[in-house]
Amino acid sequence: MPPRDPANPASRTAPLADEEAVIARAANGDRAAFTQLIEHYQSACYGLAWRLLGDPDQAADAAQDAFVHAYDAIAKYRGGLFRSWLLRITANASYDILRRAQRKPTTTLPDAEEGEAELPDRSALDPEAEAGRSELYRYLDAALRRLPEDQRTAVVLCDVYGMDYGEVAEATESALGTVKSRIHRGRLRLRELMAEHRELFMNERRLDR
Amino acid sequence: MTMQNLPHPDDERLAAYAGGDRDVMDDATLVAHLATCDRCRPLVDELSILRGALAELPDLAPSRPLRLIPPVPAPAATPGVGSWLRRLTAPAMAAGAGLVLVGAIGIGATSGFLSQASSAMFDNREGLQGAGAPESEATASDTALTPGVKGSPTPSSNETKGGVVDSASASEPPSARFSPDASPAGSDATEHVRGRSTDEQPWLTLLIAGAGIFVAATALRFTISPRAG
Repeated sequence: MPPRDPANPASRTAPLADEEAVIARAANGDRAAFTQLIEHYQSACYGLAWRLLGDPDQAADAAQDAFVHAYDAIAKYRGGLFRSWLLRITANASYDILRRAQRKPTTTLPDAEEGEAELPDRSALDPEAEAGRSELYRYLDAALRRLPEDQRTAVVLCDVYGMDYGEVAEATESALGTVKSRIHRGRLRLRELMAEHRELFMNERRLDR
Repeated sequence: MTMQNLPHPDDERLAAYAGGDRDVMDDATLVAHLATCDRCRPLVDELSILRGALAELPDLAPSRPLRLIPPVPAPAATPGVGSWLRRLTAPAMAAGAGLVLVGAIGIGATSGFLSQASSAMFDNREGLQGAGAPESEATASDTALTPGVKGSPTPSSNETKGGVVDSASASEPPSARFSPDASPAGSDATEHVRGRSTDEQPWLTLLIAGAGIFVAATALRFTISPRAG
């Protein structure tokens, strides 16, 4: 049994049933096994890259760069969640592209509410989601795009993909304190941006504390 | 509710709390404040719910088919005959050009263009060769060496020269032995002219061969495709 990711909800790709065996084969140079792994997780990688970069083409490039890095590094893979390992590689590949683009850290992405076509299709992976939930995800992605870039990358890595502060600091080549501050400010800003859609998440969830 | 009168914690600390940040969770003052504050408690709750929704954001299908695996690395390029030939063309071109240059200088020297400048050097060479001549000619060679260095040949040296020219013409450019003849009145004109024309021949051959090699190598270089292997 592959380890279950506590931070991996039903809307995310679950590990393969025989994942450890497939990884072992891929690490021994079995190209078919590697292809099987990457095919399984490509939506996870693409989703992260798209949320970091905000552009479908750049996201596809970043994901493919990550697959090449993963292919070179899989022989050195030492356990843990493969999904998390692959997502860290994808975050680094995305951040390389971000750095090359040299956008200002305060840059926001084009408004997704107008460019709704830019939101990639996710229905295939989210078949049983209620319409309301899908709508919430759509507004959340739109709100993330309106965060300043430094806050968006930090919130995406930490809150969307479950990386800890240290991992975010490493991926974004920033100081730990800076990363924490960006995440906290990003959360507050996101709440403001989601204010008009509060009913979508406040009505569905009840805190039990 | 005295707590509510205390100043509210910084919002960033509340956002940290909503994310389960250890440092903030352990802050007893903040925890106590949250238990009673009607402003801060709902804010933390809302941030927590938002954070939960972020953690659920689904994976996304790629916008275009992705290349999942790097292409199989091409087998180590085994250079074919073509690429080897092509690699040889550059040195061949250089060698051809070098031969053309040497040939041209040689012709220039033998045809008198450079004879003034080079005569002393050639005399020296002749003298050295004379030193290596058979025992019987040793005396004559010695006398030949002396005028060669001085640049003023004696009648006896002419005899020696004649012998040396006949025996060594095949291996050594003969021009060396005739260049000093430009000055003395004793040498006859016809022999001089004949000597010069035969002297130019090897240089000319060299020049033509060099040009041939150069042209052939150049032609080869542009005929063979760069990726023949």
